[in-house]
Amino acid sequence: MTIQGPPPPQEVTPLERWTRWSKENLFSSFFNSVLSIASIAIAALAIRGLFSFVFAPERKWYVIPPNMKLYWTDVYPPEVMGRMWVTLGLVLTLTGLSLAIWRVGGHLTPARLARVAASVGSSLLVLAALVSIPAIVRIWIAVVGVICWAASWLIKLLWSGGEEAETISTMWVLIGTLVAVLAVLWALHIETGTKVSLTVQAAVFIGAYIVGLVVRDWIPNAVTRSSLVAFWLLSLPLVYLVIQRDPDVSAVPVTTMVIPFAAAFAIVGAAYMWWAGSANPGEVAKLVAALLFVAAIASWFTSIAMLPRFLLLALAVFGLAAPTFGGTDQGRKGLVIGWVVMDLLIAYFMTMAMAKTGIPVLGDFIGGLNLTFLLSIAGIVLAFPIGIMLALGRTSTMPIFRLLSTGYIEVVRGVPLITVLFFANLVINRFLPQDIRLDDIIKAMIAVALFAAAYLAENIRGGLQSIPKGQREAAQAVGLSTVQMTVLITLPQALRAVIPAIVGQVITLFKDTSLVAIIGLADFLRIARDVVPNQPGSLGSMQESLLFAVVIYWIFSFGTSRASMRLEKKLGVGER
Amino acid sequence: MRKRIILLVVVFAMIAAACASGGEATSTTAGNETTTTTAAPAQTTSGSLLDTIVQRGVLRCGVNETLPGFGSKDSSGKFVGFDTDLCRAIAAAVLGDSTKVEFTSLTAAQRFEAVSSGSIDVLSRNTTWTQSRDGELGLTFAPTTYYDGQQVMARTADGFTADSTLADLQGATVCTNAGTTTEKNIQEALDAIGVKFTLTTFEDFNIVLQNFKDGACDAVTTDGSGLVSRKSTDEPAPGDWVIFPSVPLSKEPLGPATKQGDAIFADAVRWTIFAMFIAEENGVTSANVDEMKANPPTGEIGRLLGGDGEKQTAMGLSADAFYNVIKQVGNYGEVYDRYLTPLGLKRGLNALWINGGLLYAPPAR
Repeated sequence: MTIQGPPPPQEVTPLERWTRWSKENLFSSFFNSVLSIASIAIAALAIRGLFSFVFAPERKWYVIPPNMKLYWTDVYPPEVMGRMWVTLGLVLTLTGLSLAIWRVGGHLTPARLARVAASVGSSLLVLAALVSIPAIVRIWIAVVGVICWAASWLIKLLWSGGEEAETISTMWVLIGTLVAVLAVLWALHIETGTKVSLTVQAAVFIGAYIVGLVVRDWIPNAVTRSSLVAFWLLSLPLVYLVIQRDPDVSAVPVTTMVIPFAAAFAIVGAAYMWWAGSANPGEVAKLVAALLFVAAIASWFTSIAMLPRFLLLALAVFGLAAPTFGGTDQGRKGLVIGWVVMDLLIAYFMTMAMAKTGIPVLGDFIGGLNLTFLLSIAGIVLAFPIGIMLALGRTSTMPIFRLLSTGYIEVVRGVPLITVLFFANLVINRFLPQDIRLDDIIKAMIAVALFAAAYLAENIRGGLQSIPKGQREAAQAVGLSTVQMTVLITLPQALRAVIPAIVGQVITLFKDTSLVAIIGLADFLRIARDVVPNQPGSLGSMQESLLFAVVIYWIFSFGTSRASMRLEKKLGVGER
Repeated sequence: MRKRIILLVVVFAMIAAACASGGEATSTTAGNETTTTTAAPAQTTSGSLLDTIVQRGVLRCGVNETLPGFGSKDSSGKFVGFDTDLCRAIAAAVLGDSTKVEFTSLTAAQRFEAVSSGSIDVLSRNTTWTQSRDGELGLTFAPTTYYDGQQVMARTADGFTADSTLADLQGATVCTNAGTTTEKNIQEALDAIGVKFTLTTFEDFNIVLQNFKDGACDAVTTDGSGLVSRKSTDEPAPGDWVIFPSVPLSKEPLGPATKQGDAIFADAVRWTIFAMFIAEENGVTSANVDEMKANPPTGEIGRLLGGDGEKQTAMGLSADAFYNVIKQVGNYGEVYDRYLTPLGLKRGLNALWINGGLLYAPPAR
């Protein structure tokens, strides 16, 4: 090797670039060349096989579109289907806002975009050429491929010269794709009602994103982000208890019980918070909080109504937390306002949960993919506080807590989820007072949450143990109390460290919810496996239905995992 | 210090108030508990499930969602099928409204527990009436609504014909779905004649049939109704598959079942089905039932539709109970034609006795 200066810049043709790339990456040595050729062959065979399965003439894909309603919502009555669209609209609105506020999505150079479009186009063309599929499908795939190529060429033409300074936001590219998909949708033979609904939903999503972009520049990020998180958390009970259950609230209990209780607790609780959040409430405050806690526990053994039980418990928790967050004027105000808001929320949602449903269906009316989502989201959201408590309990120095947490975690991790579901279905009502009977769905949510909490606790414990001792010592040196140290120093770091594990768990949970079929709930997989293939009009379509289910499950699992990767990058997980 | 004590007092007063008013809290049940009966429609029914259902206003019925023609869900999520319409008929008789049914789809394994625990009132899920179910499991069976029998389906290309016998299965791989009496029946029948064969079971009949199509199974076996309906939809070309033997290798009388020890409700279910038989026998359909009620051709029809001398009120039902059944659901033949005829199932044994079948109802007098 003679030492040379930098090579003179020269124009590289795409072909040369491609051969150089493949030489470096695919055929760098004899062994690697063999491996590359073998894996390309295997991949080609697999894709070919899959396509010839999917497009075989005997496939009954026609059974899937008419059953869309069944897959998504099961027996939910068509006349109140609007509630499901409202649910979707709410979720899409929050998603659009969040995407804008959290500045999700990077930027693409036009050249890169053109390359992506061209590669998609060429892979489609290769597919159309190689796979044994009906001619009409072949033509369609080829047409889409050509359109991609044309788009790529157009981009190059518009942004000629490749001024690298100019970039396109990835989000706008995605929104453009969404509009294109909608245009294709209108060309298909689908019910007009569905088309209009989907278009409205897409418009809602894009509108929310634009609103988010505008808001982003006017309101400080901290405010929008925290309120969005609050809305996300509120959306779950709102969707299940209010939007989808359509509670039929009767006026009598509201005027005689809910309003007096909520008002009394709001006033007294606010006064108590004002006092407990003062600079130096002393030992009496702790005593009162402890007594409240005992009273809250004891209230479950009396025949008192549900609302005061929950309110007492919440007030006790606030009382116990007051010394940590109080002490300053701002903290004090936060405690008082927080309590009043909490009181009103509990009163509202309890009332909604207690009311009979107004949906004109007998029996369970929540099912399909909607139920799968409700279960997995409720499971993970409810599991979070329990899991954190268990993790802290397992790492605490108090023997009783440690024993109880360890025992719970090990017992739950030692039994299959099916067992937990069965047990919950048969036993939860026995633990509750006589006058309370929970729906099967609520029982399943509790079971899934309790199960997930044990695994989550172990993940979080791993995070807690990964925090260097120095952090704790520093916190103690500054004079933080144990609670402050946990809430402000160790927990945030621990949670950040275990994001990948938690996301893995969310994905697992999402798929594991299909086990609720065993306690008689009609989740997405049961619809796909048992219900649709056994309709008189769609016999023998089990493979199609299951493949559809596979694709849907995969889209959401994969989407979650991609989103978590972005989150990790943003938070710099694993880069210390 | 004084301030703190006052605050403490206030807090405890609040708790005490909460406890005190908790005593008069309204109960918030989801309506799962049966309340004590107050007004019974007829003296004889007090304490019967019939009463409970009338109080509740809903009939809870356990059905299948995986058997085409008998119990499945259509694309809007509505339960359809022969067995589900029997539930609607019972609801029409007991409550006067065929839509007041809360369906629960059950697996074969769950169904008996659901009846005995009382989470459903009636089981209408292609359940075979057997001695052990009548005895040990504590069920009471309504009259048989569908006479079925286990048969075998194989390929004509393998030399099987409609005249084939079980002995022709020598050395064959026979497939069926697990968890029912089907596998026991075929095993017993083939062991009895000393035929060596391989029995493979799968979880679900859809998978059984897929394996049969792929050639992994030489023959499949299940109830004749299932074979006929799957043959009509899945057969590659007419005449490729054949069902034999002509005399089924088992008797499978299917019908609704209720919990043992409640004769009053069991009678209501039984006579709902008999009313559907009698209506077909006399040509009473949902289309002409009003006319028949106005000028009944026979005394029996008049009584059945709630005319003079009717016997329904003595059973704890309303006088027009069976009129509602025929009006809202139809007679036996109508329900059969609605779901089973399209699947290619001939009436055969399930014809009325006057047409050479087995359906025979006692007289309504």
